[in-house]
Amino acid sequence: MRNGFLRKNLPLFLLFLFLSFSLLLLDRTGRIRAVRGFVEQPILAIEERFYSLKLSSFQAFKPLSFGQKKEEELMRLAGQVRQLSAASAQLSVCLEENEEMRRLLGAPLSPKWKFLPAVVVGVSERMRIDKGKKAGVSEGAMVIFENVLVGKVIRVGEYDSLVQLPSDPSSKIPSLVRRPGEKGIRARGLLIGQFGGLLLDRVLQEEDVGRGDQILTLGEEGWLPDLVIGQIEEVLPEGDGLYQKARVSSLVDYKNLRTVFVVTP
Amino acid sequence: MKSYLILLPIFLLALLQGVFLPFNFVLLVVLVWAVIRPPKEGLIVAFFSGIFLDLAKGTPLGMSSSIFLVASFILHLYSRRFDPAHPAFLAVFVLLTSIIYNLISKEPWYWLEGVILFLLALLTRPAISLWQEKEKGIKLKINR
Repeated sequence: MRNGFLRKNLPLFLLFLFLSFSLLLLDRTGRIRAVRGFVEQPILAIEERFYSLKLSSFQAFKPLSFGQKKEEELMRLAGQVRQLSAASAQLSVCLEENEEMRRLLGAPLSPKWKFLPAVVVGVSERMRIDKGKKAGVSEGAMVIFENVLVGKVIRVGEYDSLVQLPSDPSSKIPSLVRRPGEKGIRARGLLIGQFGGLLLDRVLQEEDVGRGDQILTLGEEGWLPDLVIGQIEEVLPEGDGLYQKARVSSLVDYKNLRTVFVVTP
Repeated sequence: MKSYLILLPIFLLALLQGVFLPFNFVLLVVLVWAVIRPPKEGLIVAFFSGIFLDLAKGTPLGMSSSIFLVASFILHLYSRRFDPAHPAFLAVFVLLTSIIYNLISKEPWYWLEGVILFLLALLTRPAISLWQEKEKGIKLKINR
């Protein structure tokens, strides 16, 4: 029976497996990028429509349980919180930079950075945007929304890119902690993704961090510096002696973004 | 030929997975299809479903089809020793394949995905039985 099965189906299985591996190899080496881009274009267009539909239906159903005015108010306030957090982080950075500039007269941020608007076509574990190699996106580029970090490009197609979100469990961002309105760094740590949530780890026990403190990128390991990620929700009581941990909430809801910006140096 | 129409809903499911669905429902459909249909058909569906999923999710082309093909083939290979339509066997197989899929694709594996796919695979039993009864009925009619 098994021999019969193998005799009948093994050639077909091997043929398809060979095809799959060939496609994988050609895709990895970028040899079918143009063809893939051509095939993907209509798929991206459909996905973009689906995503818009999902966002608008989400918005349409939300007021049923919450009340439209309250929902609008909440959205407005969330936007203000984001802007204030970003402004506050910028202010802290500016205060420090000001002191440094007195000494160095150097420009800390490159004026060459360009912000490329991109439309979100899907968000599941990762975010997919409608800009790729053709638009000048490269692997490792940062993706932001209103000065808030959204993620890092991990794969670039001809007309699309995949973005790893900070909440992705394989994401580890060297970060720093600032208290709004105060200058100086309060602590350094490692921001780890946790299936939709964020955890600040590797913060020394003696460092004073608390609820409301802002988390920004440290600017190491390929991440641009001073991009706001979120704020500390709760410092976790248990610690392993050397380090303390904190639960961090993101300043943006990654699953409800329609447009983002890719930072191209 | 008619049975390949399953590729249409699979394409739609792949699109939804690319847009917002966090669970690999395409994998579940492919494995259920491999259980209820002849091996040749199961392999063809596995290959094209993988291509659709990779195009819809932006993952490396050929990756999903390789995994789906191997999983479908193993499922058929052991269909003599185990009953692949047995709810426990299929559910465990779907769970293991989902873990392997996420390991290979370097996508985060969420335990909830495993649980949901496991439960859905358990629930497919009545549908599979119904399908097999229908198939038997058709064959009997032809033999008469």
